Amino acid sequence: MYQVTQSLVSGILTGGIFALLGVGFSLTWGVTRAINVAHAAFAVIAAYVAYWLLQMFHVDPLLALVLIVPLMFSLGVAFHRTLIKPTGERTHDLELASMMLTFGLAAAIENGIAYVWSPDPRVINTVYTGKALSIAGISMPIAHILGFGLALATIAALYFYLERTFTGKAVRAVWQNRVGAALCGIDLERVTSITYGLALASAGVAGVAMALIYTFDPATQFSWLIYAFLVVIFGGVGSVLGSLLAGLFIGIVLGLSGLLIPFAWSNLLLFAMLIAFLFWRPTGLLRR
Amino acid sequence: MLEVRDLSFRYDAQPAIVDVSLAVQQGEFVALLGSNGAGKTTLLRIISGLLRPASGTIAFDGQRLDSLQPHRICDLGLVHVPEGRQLFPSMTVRENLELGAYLPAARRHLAASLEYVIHLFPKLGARLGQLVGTLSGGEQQMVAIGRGLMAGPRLLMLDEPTLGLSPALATEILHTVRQLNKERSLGVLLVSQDVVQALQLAHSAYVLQNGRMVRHGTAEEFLGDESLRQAYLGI
Repeated sequence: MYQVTQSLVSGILTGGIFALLGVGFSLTWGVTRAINVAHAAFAVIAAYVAYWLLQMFHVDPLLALVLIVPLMFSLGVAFHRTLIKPTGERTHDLELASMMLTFGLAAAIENGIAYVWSPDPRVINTVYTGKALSIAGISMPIAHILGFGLALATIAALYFYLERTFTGKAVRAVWQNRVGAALCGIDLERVTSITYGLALASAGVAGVAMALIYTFDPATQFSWLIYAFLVVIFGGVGSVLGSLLAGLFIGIVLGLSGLLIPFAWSNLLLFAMLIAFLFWRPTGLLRR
Repeated sequence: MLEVRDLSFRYDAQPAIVDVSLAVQQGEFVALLGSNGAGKTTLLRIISGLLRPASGTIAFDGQRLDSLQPHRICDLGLVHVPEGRQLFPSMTVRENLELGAYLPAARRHLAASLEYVIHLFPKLGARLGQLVGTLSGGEQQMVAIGRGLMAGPRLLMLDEPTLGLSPALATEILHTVRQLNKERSLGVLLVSQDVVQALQLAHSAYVLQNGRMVRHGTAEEFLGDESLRQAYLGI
């Protein structure tokens, strides 16, 4: 019983971070019909920025977010303006075209990082790394708690931004009906740029949160991307709450499966469930 | 107020609108008539900036529109309530209406505009918190017109606002539009299959056939001359 509770708790803590990794991916997919396969590669860039700020200037990764979030937001806007928008203007099938384009971009980012900073695996070592809190016999590493807290706070901020602010509502409007949104006076291009900014800013926070608890290297982007894909497929395209539930679900499944089957098999289990899920509810948990 | 001159448009090299001219004066109610596929919806989509004309000019209060983005055209007070309503189904009635007042100028009058829309369509007042996707067709049409009004238009273009509605509801909606036209001297360009009713409410009418403007006259001319109605409108 102790082991089950322990696995459940660590599953939830990591699951929240998976949710954050997927939520921005889901947002750009929903709002612009572009599948940004480089989403996780951008998260890895943020992880490296946090790593080097810590190594070179002893800046704590949490403090580094003050720099990383606006940096990633601007990168998102630039990414939309220079790559996604021109591609959208030249094709009728943006889902496919964007997937090819960003697949190439992800490879370029991965190799670029490996070239500049070597393919060595990196670990973020802070004062709290390796320390844990123990509550009622359940051990919770501080890094996991911080990562989870970051993820939850970011997802909540994103949720309230989309639900409560005028620009946030415009993002949802563009996602639900582009023509209707344009006729309301919404500047589609500006709103789409903001969406990419938000998506990559959230990817940046996710990258830092992941880096707090896992080692990473340039090729890590691919396994992180898998989590993002799983979140979107379980949670439904464009749904913030769906992403949160999906991330927690994935975390719990991975956590609990570790008790029953060898760890190496847990991804296999996840993909088996994914295929079953696609047959049962192809539009995600919360979509009707 | 609205001045369309020699407008042409092609869908994949197929001419859809050919040398069309049309004018709507300040406070005028104009009906745009024609059979299915005549190009009425295409013409409205060009005017509101959703489509780019191949040639010709569009001016609104003397300002050229034909190279502006839809959101800029909306900002000038030329608002399009499109065919099929194009609402945001997973958002509430209130959110849909609020988004109609998205632009800063309209947002300043948001509370007053919302009150006015609810005054025009009292049914919406009780449904502000309901998701638009769960409303009936008639209620959705009220939201669509209401959303258009939230932008504070000086000219409202309505594309088939009564399609699929019961005759009683259709009459109610069209009379509300006429009331707006009178009380606020709002210019109206109405596309409707309901030819007789449109002519009874409008000041003047244009007839579009195969992408060409074939006739323009006052509503009385069309209503009073049976041969004219038969030749152009088939009624």
